[in-house]
Amino acid sequence: MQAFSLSAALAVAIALVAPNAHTQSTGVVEGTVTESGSGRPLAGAQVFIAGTSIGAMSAANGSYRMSGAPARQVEVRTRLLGYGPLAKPVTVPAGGSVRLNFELQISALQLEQVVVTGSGQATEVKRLGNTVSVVQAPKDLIINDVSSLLGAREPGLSAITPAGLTGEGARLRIRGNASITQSNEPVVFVDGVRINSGGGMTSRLDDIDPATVERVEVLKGAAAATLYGTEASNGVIQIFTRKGSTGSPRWVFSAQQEAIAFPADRVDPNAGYARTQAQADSLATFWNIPGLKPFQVFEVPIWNNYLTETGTASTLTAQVDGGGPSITYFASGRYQYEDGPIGGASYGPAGDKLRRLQTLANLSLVPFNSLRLSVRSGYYNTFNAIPGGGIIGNSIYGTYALAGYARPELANCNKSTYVAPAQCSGPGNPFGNGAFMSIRESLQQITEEQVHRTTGAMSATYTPTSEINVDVTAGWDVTNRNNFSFSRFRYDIDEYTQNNIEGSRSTGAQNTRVLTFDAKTSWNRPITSSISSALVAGIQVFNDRSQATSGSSTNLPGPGIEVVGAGGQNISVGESFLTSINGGYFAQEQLGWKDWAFLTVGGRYDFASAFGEDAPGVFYPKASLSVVPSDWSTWRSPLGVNTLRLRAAWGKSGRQPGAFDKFTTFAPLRGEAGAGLVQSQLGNQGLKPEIATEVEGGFEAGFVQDRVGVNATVWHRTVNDLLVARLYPVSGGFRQSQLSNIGKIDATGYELGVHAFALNRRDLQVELNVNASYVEQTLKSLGGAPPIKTNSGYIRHRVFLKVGDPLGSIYVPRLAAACPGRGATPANNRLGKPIACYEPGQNPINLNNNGRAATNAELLAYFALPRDLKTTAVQNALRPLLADYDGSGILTEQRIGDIFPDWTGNFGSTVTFKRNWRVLANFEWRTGFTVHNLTDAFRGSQHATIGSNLKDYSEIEATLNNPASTPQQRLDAANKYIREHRRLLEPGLSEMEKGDFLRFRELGLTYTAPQSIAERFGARSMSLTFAGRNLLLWTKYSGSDPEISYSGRQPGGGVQANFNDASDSFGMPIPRRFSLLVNLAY
Amino acid sequence: MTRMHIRLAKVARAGVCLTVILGGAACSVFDTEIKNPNAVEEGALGDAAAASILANGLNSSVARAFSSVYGPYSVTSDELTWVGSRENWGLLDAGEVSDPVNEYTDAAYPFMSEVRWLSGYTVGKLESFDKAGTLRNRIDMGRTYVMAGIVFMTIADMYDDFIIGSDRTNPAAPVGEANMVSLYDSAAAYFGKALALAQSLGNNEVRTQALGLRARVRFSKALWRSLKPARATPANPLINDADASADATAALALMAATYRFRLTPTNANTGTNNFASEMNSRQEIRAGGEYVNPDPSRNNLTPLAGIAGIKLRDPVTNQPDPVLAKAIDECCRVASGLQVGVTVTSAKEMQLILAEAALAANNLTEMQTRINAARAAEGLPAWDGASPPPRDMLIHSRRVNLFLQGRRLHDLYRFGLKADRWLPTSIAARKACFFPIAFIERQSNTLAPQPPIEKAAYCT
Repeated sequence: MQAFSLSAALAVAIALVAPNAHTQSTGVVEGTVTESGSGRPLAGAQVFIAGTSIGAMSAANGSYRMSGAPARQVEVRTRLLGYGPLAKPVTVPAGGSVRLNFELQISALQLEQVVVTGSGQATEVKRLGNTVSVVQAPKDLIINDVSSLLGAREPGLSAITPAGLTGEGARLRIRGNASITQSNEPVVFVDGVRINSGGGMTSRLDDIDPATVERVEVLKGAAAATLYGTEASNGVIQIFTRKGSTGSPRWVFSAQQEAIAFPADRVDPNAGYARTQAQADSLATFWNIPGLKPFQVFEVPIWNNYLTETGTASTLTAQVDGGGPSITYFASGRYQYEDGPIGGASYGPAGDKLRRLQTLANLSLVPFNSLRLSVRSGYYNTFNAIPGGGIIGNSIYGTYALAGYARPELANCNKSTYVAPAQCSGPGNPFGNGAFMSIRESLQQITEEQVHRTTGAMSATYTPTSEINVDVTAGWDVTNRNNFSFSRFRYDIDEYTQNNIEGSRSTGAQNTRVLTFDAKTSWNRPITSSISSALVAGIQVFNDRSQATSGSSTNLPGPGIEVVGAGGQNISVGESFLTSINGGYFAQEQLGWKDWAFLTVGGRYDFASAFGEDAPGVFYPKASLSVVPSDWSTWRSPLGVNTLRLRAAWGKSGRQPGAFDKFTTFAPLRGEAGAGLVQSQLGNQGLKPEIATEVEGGFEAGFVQDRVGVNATVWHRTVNDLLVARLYPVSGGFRQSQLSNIGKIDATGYELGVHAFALNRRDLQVELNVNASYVEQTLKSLGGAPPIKTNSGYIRHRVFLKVGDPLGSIYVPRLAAACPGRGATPANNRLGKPIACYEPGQNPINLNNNGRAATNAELLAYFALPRDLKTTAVQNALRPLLADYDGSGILTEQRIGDIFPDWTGNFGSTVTFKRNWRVLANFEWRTGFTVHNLTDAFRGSQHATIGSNLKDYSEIEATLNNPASTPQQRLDAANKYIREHRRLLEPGLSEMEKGDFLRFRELGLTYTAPQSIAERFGARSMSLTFAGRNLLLWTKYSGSDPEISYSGRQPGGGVQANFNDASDSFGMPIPRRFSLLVNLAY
Repeated sequence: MTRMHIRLAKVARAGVCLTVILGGAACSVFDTEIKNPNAVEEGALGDAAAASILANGLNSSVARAFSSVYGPYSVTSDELTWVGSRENWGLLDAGEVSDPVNEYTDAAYPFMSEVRWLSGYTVGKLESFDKAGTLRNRIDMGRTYVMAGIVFMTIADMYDDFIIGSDRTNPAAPVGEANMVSLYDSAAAYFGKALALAQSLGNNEVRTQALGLRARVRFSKALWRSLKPARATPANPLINDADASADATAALALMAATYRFRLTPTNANTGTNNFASEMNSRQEIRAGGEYVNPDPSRNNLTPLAGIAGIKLRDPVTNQPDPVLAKAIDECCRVASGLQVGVTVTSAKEMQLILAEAALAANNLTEMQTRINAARAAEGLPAWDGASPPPRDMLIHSRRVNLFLQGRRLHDLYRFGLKADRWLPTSIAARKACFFPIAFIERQSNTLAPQPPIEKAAYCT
């Protein structure tokens, strides 16, 4: 809070005194910014005086005002995303004012846009041979966090959502995965300072208030990110926060209210059936289903009816900016509180809650014309609470999983009195849980996280001449994260769970500090009248340090006590330290030819503590070419192309291993005998970074006076010296795999973006946006190491890394199909061996493991009696007939797809009508990937203790168990079981589904009140926005949500975390959000 | 070129430091020489001061390996049974003992390999310290010999084949099924060294452990010869090994009637498969259906509370067996917690070794005496030597007194018994098979049996 107080107080104080900073040697420039053609006022346009720090932002009515302008002739420039830039000369009168209006031309291409990321200095986009995307928050949407700001905006940039849990952020991927063992997250900078973009329960990226983000620049790969060196092979995201502009203090206040709900259609009800009349009678009473008969399948929507509610969220924001010629400021504060859509408050104290306090102050000083200083200070406080165990990712012990796996036929109040459906007066099993704990007990478990974070930066820009610029930036980001989970003494209120029933408590604290030092000098000059030069050289160093402490215990001595030290058993403490230093020095020369052709060459030499002080560094080179033929004086718009740019880039970047990965180590192991040491890491003194080499080419083309812009890129990436977690024979004594630079990945992709202003009339404007990207990633080599199962400890997880196959491929058993001639099955596999199949009169059932398709007669005889699929004997008798389609010789590992989408994209439109109304819609889609529906593997199968409760499956089981069924009915049911519901026993069989989806991601409707109405509230402007998020989902995927993944916000890498995408494992569907926002500017 | 780069890096870093110092910050934050405070680098272990720490580490890692391997073994026998969510426990329960892909045997194998390597490493280190005269506490070497012997004995007990010769990244070929018996000799040799050292140092604790364990390993070796090569129920399953009996007799002279040597993990050294956690927290497995009465109100996931939860009866009193009840309380109820120890040798086991030898020699009086000595240790009434018959009494006594000690599967095989959950088609129901070299080893070691997945090739 101290940091917040200081920065906020400073900014507010300046807000009050800054207007007095004007002098008589200056004047005022004011006017309006409107859209050419429609005359519509444009808000948010940057207007500034060239060569000075004086600027302003246009207001909602298009007006701008710059005080403190030097009293002479100046050039005033304006820029706004979606419009061509414009510059006009004007003479500023001393002590007076001058009006200057701008009419901006719509432009779907932004070649003149200035970016700073990846180029070492501010540069127009058209000069760069690589792509730099710029993302700005759409004004007509409600963006709650940075994850939402970045997702579904740019081709090739995806936000991967773990599940629909309150507070959980997304992981980011740019152009797929460049590593199998290291983090695939892009590195993130804020105003040139590297930040902690990791996570715990919540995302550190989402600590940042999206309302303070002016723009985000995205570098999509090694060719663009070379100057960032090691760590940048998955791209760079640079967030630029809003700065103040000259003028009187401008205040903006907004209040937002949201409703949050899980989609009711994504979670199937829990089905069950009674086996006897007595059980049917009992269940009829318990669930209020009169007339229930034995073997009649009934359904109870446990999750939807008993455990969800309409969540609410409130957000309040206040911002101020302003300043004079020598000082500008921006300050912002935001408070967000969310009580999420998990219900069940009457069952237990646990809930889903999120609270965020986000503050930021930016101060810019210009003590001399040649020197600009800026200071940024931010303080963030995040609190998150979720029910149940497990702080990251989805948990089978969590409330959602327990709701999904409850079997209503097991429900009872046999230790107390029945009150109503799902209600007992005391202990019982009111939902019919079969394992782990009851739902009510899960809601006694509390898991919370609290984050305090301060960030800051100081930078200085010295411009001794118009050609030379010296920039120095130092920044810090300090995060203190505390987690705890707590189950109180005797939380087993249903006397069901046996898991630490006398309570347990665990705490963890992590302190992370990231320091950045960045210094560079640029020299921009004309060499001849046709050739220009832009040279930049500098150094960048980062110091990342984290310290973690943890403690846990069980068996608390009594009610009311909530401290780890009180526990009597399983007492554990831990502490770890990690420091890594890396940095590099870089240089880049850009040569321009008549302002339409640009050649850039450069490189970075990197060093890192992971390799020791005396280890040689790594050199990453780059080169790019950008040509703008449409800037030729002879350009005549062939084929209607008004603007055309061609570009190509080549470059390298890398990923370094962990700080201590090269050492052979022995780790502490405590036991009965006392402190001891055990071999831990094999070590590899030859360890080095993996190197990504990327080449990309593409073009931007503008049509119809640049109202239609097309942007296309093709890229290819090779990662050499890939860090592979090589498994050496464990008989050699070391259980852990050892990182070795032995692998190779190839990846290819295409990105396409179309942006069009389809209609631009005074009262109706229509803007369309379409993006698509394709990624194909192949594991080319593991350097002779064996295939890697990405979650080696869990047989149900079916992603392997095998040479020659796409990254993230899924390998599962496959059922035999009809024999050739009657089905699609070929006779032989690639090894020339016959593929198992079945003939007419046969079934894909390997009865009693006899190795062939069972005949109808055999099965009818078997089904003369009822058969219970819950018994091991029947499960073993009714085995699936599996086939080796791949010719791999491994029946259980047949490749059926991969977890990464081939195609991703979004499309949408913005429609402005009647000048004051605007509607924005954005749809996101992904295709060509396979989801592991592990949740329904339990719910739709024979599992004895959990799940086994989807209606389709329950009907099969009821038919097989019902003495009144005929053998033929049982045979038919068995066939359905084998073809669709034989899950878990042969891990992966019938558990994978295509995940293709289209999601109505965002909708926004904004009404901007006329000035007269705003003035009634004493405001300059006023707007009202209604918005929706995740409104509709179109998919054939049958599980809760095809978008979710198993990992939480875990950007830290590791084989398992890198390949947990598309894993629907006990994760909630992503909820819908409806929001109402009132915005007032003063 | 490399030197120039290093110089350039240092010059650049110096420049950064200078600038940072000017800015008032500390220069050391950009120093690239970082120490790792979380682990010990191997070079530091050349100091004899590390001897005790290495011996302790071996002890802890053996307990950890046991927490991983005893679950799969006991589920394959009838002592534990699968009641939970993960089917691979169910496959073991059904008797599919030789599947190297089974995630639980696959997970246990690396822990056993870890302690095999560490035992050799630690013995080597301590012997070199001893030779150099720098070993401060020589009994550390005795403790290490005991642990090394336990490791080899357990591998020979539990595995049909194993790889002993690999070292770090250098793979070796398997010992071979026929040669696995030699591991008992290695174990016996380690126990012998421990015994000699303990005697010379006058350390009765290690001396007792070594004697008891050598009795056990000699018994096990005889059992292996009787059972494993043929993989069928032997005509005469009773073991009568003179060396084992001699050691057992000598051990009993040192042991109290209730003596037992137990390895118990703590929450800091439990393995991935920790069978106590799988029972008492996660509830994947439970004490077997012939041993306990499950609680139907809890979906049969746990035994009923108290003596009502004990199904197996003492054949003399026909009451729920109190020895078993004590063992169940100690291992298999929620109050037992997540760390359950494994007894590696005990006075009662010595009595049972001697009882079996007597029965094999048809010395029923001696057999009755030994059985009743074991019963007396638990306060049970004496057996009359006739009812139940001696062989049944021996089997029952071993069943309850050696519960969860890695003996039951061997006894089922050698006495021609079948676990209640074995399917008739399963491997265990057809052959006396134990664990194979696991998939994780086959996958990474071309000298291991290949191809890595082909069930028919196992347990030949």
